[in-house]
Amino acid sequence: MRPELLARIGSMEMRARQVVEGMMAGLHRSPFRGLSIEFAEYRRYQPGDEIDRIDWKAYARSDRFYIKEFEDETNLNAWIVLDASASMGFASKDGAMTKWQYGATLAACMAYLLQCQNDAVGLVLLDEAIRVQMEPRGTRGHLAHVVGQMERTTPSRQTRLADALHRTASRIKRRGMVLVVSDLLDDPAEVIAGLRHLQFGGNDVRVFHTLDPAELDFDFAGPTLFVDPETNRTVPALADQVRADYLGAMQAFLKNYSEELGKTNIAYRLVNTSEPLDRALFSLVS
Amino acid sequence: MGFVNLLFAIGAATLAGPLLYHLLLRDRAQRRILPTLRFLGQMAPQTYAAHRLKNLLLLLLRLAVLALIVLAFMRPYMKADAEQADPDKAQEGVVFALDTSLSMRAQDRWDNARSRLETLLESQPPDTRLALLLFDRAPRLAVSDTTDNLEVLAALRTAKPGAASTDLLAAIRSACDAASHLQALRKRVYLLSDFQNSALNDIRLDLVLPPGVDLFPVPIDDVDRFNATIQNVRETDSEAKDKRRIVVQAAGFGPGRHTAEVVVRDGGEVLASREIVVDASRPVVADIEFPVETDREMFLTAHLELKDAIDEDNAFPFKIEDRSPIPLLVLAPIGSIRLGDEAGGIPSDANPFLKAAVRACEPRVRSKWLDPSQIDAVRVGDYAVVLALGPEAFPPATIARLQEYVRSGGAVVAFPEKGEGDALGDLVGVEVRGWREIDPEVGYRLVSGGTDGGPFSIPGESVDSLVGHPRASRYLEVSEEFPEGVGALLRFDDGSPFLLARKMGSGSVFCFTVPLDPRATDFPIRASFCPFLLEMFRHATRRAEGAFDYRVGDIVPGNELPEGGMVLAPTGRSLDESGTLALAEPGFYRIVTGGKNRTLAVRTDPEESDLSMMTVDEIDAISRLSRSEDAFTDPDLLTASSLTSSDRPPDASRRLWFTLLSAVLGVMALESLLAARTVR
Repeated sequence: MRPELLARIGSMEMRARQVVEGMMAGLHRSPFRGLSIEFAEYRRYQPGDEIDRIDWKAYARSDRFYIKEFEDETNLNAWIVLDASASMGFASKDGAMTKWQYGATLAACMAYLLQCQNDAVGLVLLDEAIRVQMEPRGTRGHLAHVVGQMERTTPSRQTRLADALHRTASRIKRRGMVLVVSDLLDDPAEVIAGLRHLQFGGNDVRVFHTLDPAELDFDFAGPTLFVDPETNRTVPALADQVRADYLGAMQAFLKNYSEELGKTNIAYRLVNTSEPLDRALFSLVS
Repeated sequence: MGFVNLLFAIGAATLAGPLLYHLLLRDRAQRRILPTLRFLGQMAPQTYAAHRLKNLLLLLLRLAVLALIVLAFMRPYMKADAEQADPDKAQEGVVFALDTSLSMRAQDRWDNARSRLETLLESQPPDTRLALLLFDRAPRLAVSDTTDNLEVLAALRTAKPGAASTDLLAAIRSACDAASHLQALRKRVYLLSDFQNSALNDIRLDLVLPPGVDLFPVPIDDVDRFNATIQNVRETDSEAKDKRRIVVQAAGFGPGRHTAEVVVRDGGEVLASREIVVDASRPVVADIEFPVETDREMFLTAHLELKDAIDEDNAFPFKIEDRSPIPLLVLAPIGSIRLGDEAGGIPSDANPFLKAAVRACEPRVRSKWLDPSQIDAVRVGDYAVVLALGPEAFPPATIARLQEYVRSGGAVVAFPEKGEGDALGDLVGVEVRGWREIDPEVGYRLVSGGTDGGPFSIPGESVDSLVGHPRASRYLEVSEEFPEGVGALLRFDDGSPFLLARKMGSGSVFCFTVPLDPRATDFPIRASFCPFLLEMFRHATRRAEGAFDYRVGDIVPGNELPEGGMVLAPTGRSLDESGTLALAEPGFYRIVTGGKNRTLAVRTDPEESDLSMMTVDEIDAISRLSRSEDAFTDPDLLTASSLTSSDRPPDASRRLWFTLLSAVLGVMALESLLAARTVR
């Protein structure tokens, strides 16, 4: 479903359900079995291990005792880290979803999807600091709390994403999956350091770099007075004349994130808010 | 700076166009939120500022284009900086140029002119620099530069119209010159005149007013009046021996036909009269015959008496010449002539052409023939003219006698025969180089090369009509380096002299360069030979005095006046300090030197009698030559126009205009360039 149509759905939970169920219908006959029961590795039996965990089939083949380990045997703890700074409140067209709406909907979809698998989902809303932190839980009522919190939140403050990520990383006690939804408009080096901090705790970090098409394509023309929504700083410019420089700088910005995060095995996905949400969700499950 | 077309300043309203365009339709910066502001870079504000600056510059250029176009159409001109800067100068300077020509005597023109001038004088603000110029044929500055109205009024009271003609162009030039010398910032010339048609000859071509001077014509009469005048009087032969006959030519000017009476007077005595009808269509010629007792020279006056005529305009002084036989002494190298032979005894072997000519001149000439060696036998001074044939062969004593005779007032007419010897050169005062011969089968010289002035330089008449193009194949060649007093009266077509004249004392020598020989020239066998010879005799004896006729206002130079002579003007003695004679009155001027009198007939200009004035359109046409819209205009003037100069010469004003237009084109080009480079 197109984002602009999705935006007409008032309830974020409804939106998330619409997106996820549509996507799941597309995944019919898929071999996908869930996130938290994935095989991780075999290891030798150690004294003290529960006998129930011995893989008898492997013993039959090799005549040795092996323990089969899974990444999380019970429930996945997924943290959704959502940028709620003022820059996320930007939408280039009237009626289109803002980056915040898009990112929040995407986060709700993820939460819904995880909840369907009985995984625990937590939420961190941050701007210049951590504004909201909700510990992961797998109950259905918790999902409603998470979505409701996002619905109540309005992006308003400045971004200090790197600090907020560091603080988030220090607060996550149990490793799990961290889904970061942000426009990453902060110092890239510091942001990457923050993300690596998250990864350092053993978390599977996935970044959804959410940007508006106007930010990506810079489709402005004529003399324009550009205003930074966070600082209210204004820059007068002739859009036609500065477009090339802007696009060059933007490409360098994106390339920097893509390459640096790729080096550290942090999944990076650029999300254009004009794209359907299920594309971003596919990148989550693929 | 001033402007010729100030009304074009209204065009400055067009400046609002680009202003409104820029204010209402300019590109306003749209306010757009952009979180990724950091990627705009440092150059964005600078390019935007440059864009705004270019837009502002574009506005200024467009305003400048329109302003320059408006300025160009306003035709600016520069005023003299020095004049504007001098604080000592008065604000106003006025020159009153008052016509005092003869035509101003007509009716009440003079009174009207004085009245208008007094009115204008009273209307001038205090401290106005004033000058008064009186003019007719020649302008005279009566008051040069004053702020005292009384001084001008006093000069005006003593002024009165004279008898001279009008030269309006000279008056305008002098008045403008006087105005330019006034110590004032703004100068005006009031030209008070009757503006006769004849007074403004080629003024449209010549008039260039000096900087800062405005000219205001003030016509003092606008009625075309009829008038008539005598244009010429000449004597003609009368069939009656006891009468003299004259032909009077009269002309009328203005509307209608009028009866006039021509009255010929000798002093106060009326000799004859004749009634004529004159109008403006063509001149009227009247023959008038009157009895006189002798053939003596007489100085008469023809009057044209016409109602509404100007008082002095109708008098035409003229002379009827002495018709008594001219005593002629012929010196010809002939041995058979007997001493004392008179006209009846012309020697048979004398030059036949000379004999025929002298006979043809009788009875106007009474001749005596002598051999040059016999000159001591007569008193040469008793003869008015000596005709010398072949003087190059005369004895030196004869030449000396002839020179003495000429210095005392006599006249010698000479024809060369052989041209050898220095006697001819001594007599004429030129170097004789010898005979020049041309094969008559091949060519010859024609007398058609013009004259150097003198009695045979008659305006409007060609040499042909005087001598009939005589040709020569043999003539004396003389040096062209003439001493003072010697000139060539007639020349061949190659420029060689044909007739030489030498002024010596109070007499003259005339010498032809051709002999009286048909093998050398056809001059003696031409029909014009005898009349020409007689005319020469009359000229030599001053009976056909060329310098007799003068116009009022003429100046007789001192070298044409006899030394120690006394001049009797028509109204008394007159001779100015410079030794020249200014002929200010019509009538006879008599120059008395020793026992000899010389009489000058001074006449008024016939054209001055034309009282019809220029039309208002004509005056306006002159005004349009260089009218200034902001020039002062006197509503009382008959024509509200003014002859106004540009304060720079016309070329400079035109250059300024072209400079402005060039600036417009330059700014437009700059505007186009900038507009193309400005992103809208």
